[in-house]
Amino acid sequence: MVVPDFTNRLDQLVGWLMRICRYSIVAITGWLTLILVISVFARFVLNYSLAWVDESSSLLLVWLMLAVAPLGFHENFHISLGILSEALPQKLQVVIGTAINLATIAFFSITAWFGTISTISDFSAQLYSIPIARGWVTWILPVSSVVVIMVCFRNLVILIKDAADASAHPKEPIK
Amino acid sequence: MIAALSVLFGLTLIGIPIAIAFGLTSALFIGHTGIPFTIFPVMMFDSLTNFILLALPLFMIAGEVSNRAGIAEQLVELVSSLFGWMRGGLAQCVTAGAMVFAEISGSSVADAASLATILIPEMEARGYPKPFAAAITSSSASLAIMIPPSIPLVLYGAITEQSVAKMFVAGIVPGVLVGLALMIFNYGFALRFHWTQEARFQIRRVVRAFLHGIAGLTLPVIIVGGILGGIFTPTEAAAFAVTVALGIGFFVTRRIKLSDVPEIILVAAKRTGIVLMLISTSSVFSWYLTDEGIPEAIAQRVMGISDNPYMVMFELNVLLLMLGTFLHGVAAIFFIVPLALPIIKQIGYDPIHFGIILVLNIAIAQQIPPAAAVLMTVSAISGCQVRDIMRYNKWYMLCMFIMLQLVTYVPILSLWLPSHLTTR
Repeated sequence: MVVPDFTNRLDQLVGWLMRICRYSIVAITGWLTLILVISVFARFVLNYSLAWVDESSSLLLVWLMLAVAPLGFHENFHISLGILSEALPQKLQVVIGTAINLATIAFFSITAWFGTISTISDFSAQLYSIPIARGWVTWILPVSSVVVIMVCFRNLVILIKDAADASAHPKEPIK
Repeated sequence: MIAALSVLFGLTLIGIPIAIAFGLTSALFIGHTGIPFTIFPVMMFDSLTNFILLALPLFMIAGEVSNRAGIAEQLVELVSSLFGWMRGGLAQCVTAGAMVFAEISGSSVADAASLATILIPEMEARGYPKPFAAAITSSSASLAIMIPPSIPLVLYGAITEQSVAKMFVAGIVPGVLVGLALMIFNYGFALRFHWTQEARFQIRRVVRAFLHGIAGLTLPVIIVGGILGGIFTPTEAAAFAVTVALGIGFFVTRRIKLSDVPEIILVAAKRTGIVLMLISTSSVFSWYLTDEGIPEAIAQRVMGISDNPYMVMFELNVLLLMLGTFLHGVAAIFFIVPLALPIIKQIGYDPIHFGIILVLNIAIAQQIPPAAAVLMTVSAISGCQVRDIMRYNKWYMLCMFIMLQLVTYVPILSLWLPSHLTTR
């Protein structure tokens, strides 16, 4: 009883976070496109260069990457070479799936931890063209890393649960 | 050096997302050097602060909008009116259509999806073997990454700090030559299978198709003309292309509603996001490689085998094709460029020329299973088995391979046009 309840709650939480990611992705990309179009218009028609566009659009690009990253692990669309593992037997696929999720958790633990340290020190540095502390921009890295860790943890739980279900109720051979 | 590359390939082979494989390998080996791990957040942010990378989401959005706005259909009708009178006319239309649509989309997979949906059913209805229709669509779609705008060329320009405008312009002549070579092979198939003329050339049809598709034709003019004329940077051209494509979708073809825009943005943003992830983690890995002097060491070993530039380029082409067979095109760029660039400079090849060779290798590799992103897309849309498509596609791959030799060993094909460009 406890395990399905925990899995459902984790699923709900991750589903909610993914909705936030989707809205953020649309908002970031929409805003990015808009400011670039406006800056081109300003440069060509008004003969006026918007100094803040270059820096803010580059930072929005980082935000976009970090908003897409958790969704990529949730919907499994990151670029990978899945052909070899797909050809393996089911049990080995579970082992490899577990290894992949653990490896991803390990990497994003590094970015979460050191991203936090870096963000704290970034609060004492200013952006070049916008009068705010750099830390207000870089906090997204540890936050996104934690969300990726949660997504991979959920993937791991589902993988193990499905494997346990499969071994408890093996498919009957077709007669 | 061997340990780092083996770990990277090992992690990739077991199916870990390539971006994570780059990051983990960097973490493992940077740990030994005593450099603090705070290099990760710093490099991940700094690697994306390159203005040219802003063209990526914009070209992705422009391509997606063009697809949904029905611009591809208009352009196909135009090329059909121009080339439909030839023997094997529809096959020629696929190649010519791919060349025109390549000037909007920048992605072979997007091109393949558009062309396969429109033209394969039409070719089947006119009696062409379906696997042949799939083969020519797949091979022609590869032109999208050679003819500007090209996502791989934007990435290559960003990594090697080459002018993306020059890269784009350098791709035009080789891209058109490969397209023409594919059309010659189409003609050969038409003779071999006794395909006759399907329609007569009618100037009225050409004029009607031109007027109907004139809005869509403004996109290639803005992108290629703007960059070639030194009016726009690639990023500015991409921003303009998005605006114009949306305008066409809203007001000309009226196939796009305001409520479709978030979905279009989401699709394009997801494709961009995964590429950005690769850029940011691979930049940490590249930084590690450079810090350890690994690219120079590899360059010395390769030059030790032979310092003949033609031989070295032959070796590099073989390596690129092998790598591209297993890896997504974008990932192959991040693997190979940091290692190959010192070799290229040492043998006196121009990095712009190498960029075009690299992209042509990727275009061929996109047709070779197991990775074969373009071939798989066409196979999924047409419902043809890969082995059936390959019966015809092997000839188109041979054609592209011959063109690869020409592009590799005749530098002027890639470098003549950029030498006349005044970039902004």
